[in-house]
Amino acid sequence: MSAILVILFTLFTIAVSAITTIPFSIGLLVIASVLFKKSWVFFLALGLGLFLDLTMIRPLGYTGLVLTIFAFILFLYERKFETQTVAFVFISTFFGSVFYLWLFGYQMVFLQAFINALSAILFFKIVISKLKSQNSKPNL
Amino acid sequence: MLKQVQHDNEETFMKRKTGFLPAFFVVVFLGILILTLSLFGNLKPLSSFLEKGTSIIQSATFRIFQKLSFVSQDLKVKELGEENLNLLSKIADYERIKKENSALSDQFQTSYPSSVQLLKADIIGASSFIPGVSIPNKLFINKGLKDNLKIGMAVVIKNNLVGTVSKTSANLSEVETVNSPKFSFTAKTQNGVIGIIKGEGNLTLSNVLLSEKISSGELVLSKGNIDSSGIGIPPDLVIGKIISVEKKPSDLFQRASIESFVNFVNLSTVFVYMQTK
Repeated sequence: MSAILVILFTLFTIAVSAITTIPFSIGLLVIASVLFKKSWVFFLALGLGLFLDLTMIRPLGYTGLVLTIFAFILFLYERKFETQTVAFVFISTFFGSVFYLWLFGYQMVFLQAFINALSAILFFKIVISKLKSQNSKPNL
Repeated sequence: MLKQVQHDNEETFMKRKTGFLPAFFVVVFLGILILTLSLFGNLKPLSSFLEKGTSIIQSATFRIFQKLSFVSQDLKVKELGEENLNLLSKIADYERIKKENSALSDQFQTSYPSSVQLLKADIIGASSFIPGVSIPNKLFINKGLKDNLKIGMAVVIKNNLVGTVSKTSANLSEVETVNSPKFSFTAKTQNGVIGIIKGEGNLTLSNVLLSEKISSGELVLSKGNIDSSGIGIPPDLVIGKIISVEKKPSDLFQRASIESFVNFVNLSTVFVYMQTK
């Protein structure tokens, strides 16, 4: 169920990249990293980055590398802190978005990062509630 | 019992993943390889092929979004807007013809480009902070290097300047719109007062000498900035009209706020001003 939600969010991220500058891909990577903790997150980062490079006319691989390194940093934090919390999702999405928006020269960096962090929390809450309801079903 | 199952599930769910380093290095290596090949131009055929696919997704999203009721304008407002653009184009044409006549009669020559080639391009993406509300600073069009587009070419809708081409790929181009903070060029008012247009979120005409007279309602036109190869912003394109003038006696220059007649949010087609000879 959570995998389906993440796939849907990925498709949403791809679709809205044509109409908004809010980097939903950052929020998606944070959620995928903290929930699944699997190495395919790096491939997701590279894939998303390649798509964004193609649509935003950037050198291929540039955004992919940025997103992969961001996912790596999240994984490093995951070794030291509890990452499956709203606070971690908010802070990491916010700072990740600030860096991303600053790097690619967008306007209203902090406001966009804040909105992105809020939307990431919302999505995180939805996925985690689905996961918990799935896990709480007694397997007796 | 139920509590124990919940606890076990949570533990499994929370388990920490180790050994992600090899995957990270593989992805980073792939990323660096792709980036290097891309920077050296070895991936052009592949990116050109992939762009076709991604531009379909981009275009479809953009079209669907433009059809949403809160984005698309009322039909009557749209018609009035188009009528307004037509009338302004006529005024700009009239001004240009008047000057041409004057130049011809005075010097028997005119500098105005003798031939203009416009290339129609569809907008496939227009990223803005809040879609449908914020004015986009960048537009993505479905024409690129294959259509002979070059960086710096002006993009227009009727006689109104939309922006200039800022990036190109095989099939796509990015257009920096006039309201973009990165955009700056020389402009003149209807009465020939010269200043500099700056995006800065809202359009402004700055660096206008205090001694010059500018007033609200005046049209602002491009002064013309075409290089030797014929690429650039041609003269007499409408940028907008002055809505307010900021003039302080202590300042060296005065500035004016400008309102563009182009509705960047509802724009779906533009024309690229190709090489002029």
